Amino acid sequence: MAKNEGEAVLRAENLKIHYKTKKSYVKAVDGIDLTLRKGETIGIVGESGCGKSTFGQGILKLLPQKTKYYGKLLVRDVDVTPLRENDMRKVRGKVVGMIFQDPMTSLNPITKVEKLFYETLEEHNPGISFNESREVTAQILQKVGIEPRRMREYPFQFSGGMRQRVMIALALVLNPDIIVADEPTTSLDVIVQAQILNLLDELRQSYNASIILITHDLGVVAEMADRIAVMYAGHIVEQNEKEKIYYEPKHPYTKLLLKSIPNTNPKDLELTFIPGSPPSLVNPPIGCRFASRCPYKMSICDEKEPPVVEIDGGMVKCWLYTQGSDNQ
Amino acid sequence: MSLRSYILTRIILALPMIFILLVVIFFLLRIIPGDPVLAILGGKAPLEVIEQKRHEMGLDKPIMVQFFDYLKDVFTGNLGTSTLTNRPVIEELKDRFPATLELTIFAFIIALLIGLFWGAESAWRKDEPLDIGARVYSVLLYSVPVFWFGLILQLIFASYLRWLPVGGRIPAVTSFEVRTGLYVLDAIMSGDWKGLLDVLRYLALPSITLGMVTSSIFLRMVRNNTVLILSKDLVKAARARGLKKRVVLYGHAVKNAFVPIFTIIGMQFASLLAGAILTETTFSWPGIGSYLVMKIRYRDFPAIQGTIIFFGLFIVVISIIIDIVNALVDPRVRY
Repeated sequence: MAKNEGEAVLRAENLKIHYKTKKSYVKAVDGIDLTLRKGETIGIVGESGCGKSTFGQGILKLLPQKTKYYGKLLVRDVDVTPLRENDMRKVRGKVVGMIFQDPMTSLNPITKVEKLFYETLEEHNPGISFNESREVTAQILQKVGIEPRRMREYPFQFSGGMRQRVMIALALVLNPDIIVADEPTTSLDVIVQAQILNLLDELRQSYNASIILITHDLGVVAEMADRIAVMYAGHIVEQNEKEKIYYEPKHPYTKLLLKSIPNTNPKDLELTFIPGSPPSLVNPPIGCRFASRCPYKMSICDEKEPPVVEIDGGMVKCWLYTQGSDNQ
Repeated sequence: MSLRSYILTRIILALPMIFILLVVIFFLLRIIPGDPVLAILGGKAPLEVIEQKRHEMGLDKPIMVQFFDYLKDVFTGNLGTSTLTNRPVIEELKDRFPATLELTIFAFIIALLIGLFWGAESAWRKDEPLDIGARVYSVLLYSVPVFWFGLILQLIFASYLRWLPVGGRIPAVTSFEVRTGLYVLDAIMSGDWKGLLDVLRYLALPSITLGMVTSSIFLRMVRNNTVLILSKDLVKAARARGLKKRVVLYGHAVKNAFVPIFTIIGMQFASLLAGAILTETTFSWPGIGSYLVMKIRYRDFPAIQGTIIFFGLFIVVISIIIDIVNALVDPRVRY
């Protein structure tokens, strides 16, 4: 499973994404380092508002215009943070494809499927004829398990799972290196979820693409991801291979997160949760952002931001693992 | 349901509405003060002349008898004779309708263009100067009476600058053959470009007046609905595929924004006609609106009733056409 030797297709270096609200900037992503290698799937997990979706949309710079990007975000060795809209358009769809959470709202319901594909293909291959586009569309629809003749229909005529298949086909039609899947199965029922995840995984293999899978569902990442990055309040607090995260979590947040997965054991029906709520990202605390909810909190946690420590093949951002801390 | 039976249903459903309109206007006219006989003959006519005229016009019959007589006529397609000119009301309406149609079509096009493009661009640049300008524009023009706005334009472009005629429709005799009564079309069909320019010069002020006032409503609707759609994922997804702004904004956002707009556009057309009455009067435009105002002044009951029913039918037809266009844009609409 370890794919530490593959070529890096995406690399975030101290990436910060601050977006503007009426009065202030929200530091939704506040200094993250992440490397995605060819053919690899990284799962980004965290609770709502931790910045995972901002990161996903930030890769394509889909956030509102006044959003500020600091640090570096290398997409196939090109730093996209300074790119303007017109240059960004060449990256979107072509280098990075994106799949959204709710296919009911992310596909224009009143534009025919074949037209959605045509306008996408035409944008990146000017001069392609409608018939050529249809041929390409037929092939990709076949791959995602939709009868090609349905391309003449409108998205509103498809079921949720089928729409998500169309969405996936649309994200893959230009053969991008990276697919950002933002909660791709959250709005689907469990059986369709599994189908969609399998489909994504098959397609990743046949296209040799890499996937950034953004989700709050630990079951979904368990199924698909090679590596997992746990986000909390704008930081990646821990990242490692999937097995390490699940069986030997380091960061207190990861531990508590894993404990709070509901199970079907009738003897253990009590739901576990993490008391408290994440800090405001407008003025985040100076120390560790998880400190206020952390059962292992030390005095240093409130005073200084914890460093990123390399440990056990992965990384953790916690004072517990720094040398000289002898509390644990 | 097929398109044909849909249209048929719509027309049948419109009949009771037209009937109610007819009842209301018939009795309303007879309640409001003013005597058609006196309006025609003047206050100083001898009493026997007045009585004779009243008898001629059938106004001495009981009101219910008058009503059922009129009803019978209407359902046989006869809108009566104008008490003022003694010409059939239908003939008079036929003469004047093309002028109104021409005015409303051009006003509608102007309103749609301003509303569509300014509204869409404002939504894209929400809270930027263009958008703030659009909001100020639409509030100002929405609150300004159409005749007052017309007068101001007349004052500036006709009186001071003398670029355009103050009013009327065409100098005297048309230099081209009148076939449809829509002078713009007639001039183009005759290939008479100088004539066309003349026609457009007369058409400019009235249609801009009415168009701009109507555009205020369109602009608001397009802007607000597009802002709403722009915040949705379908727009983000379209951008995520690398589509350019033009496609994202017009091909996806505005297209979806128009779905709710279509349902109220028919009603907007009714207010466009109401505006046309005032605009035509301001610019002495010889259409149905100014006709109606003139007929009201002379208490010409058959003509007023006929015009109102005609307006009613016109709005019914327009709303059916809009429904059909809506079905073409939004495939989810089923008859």
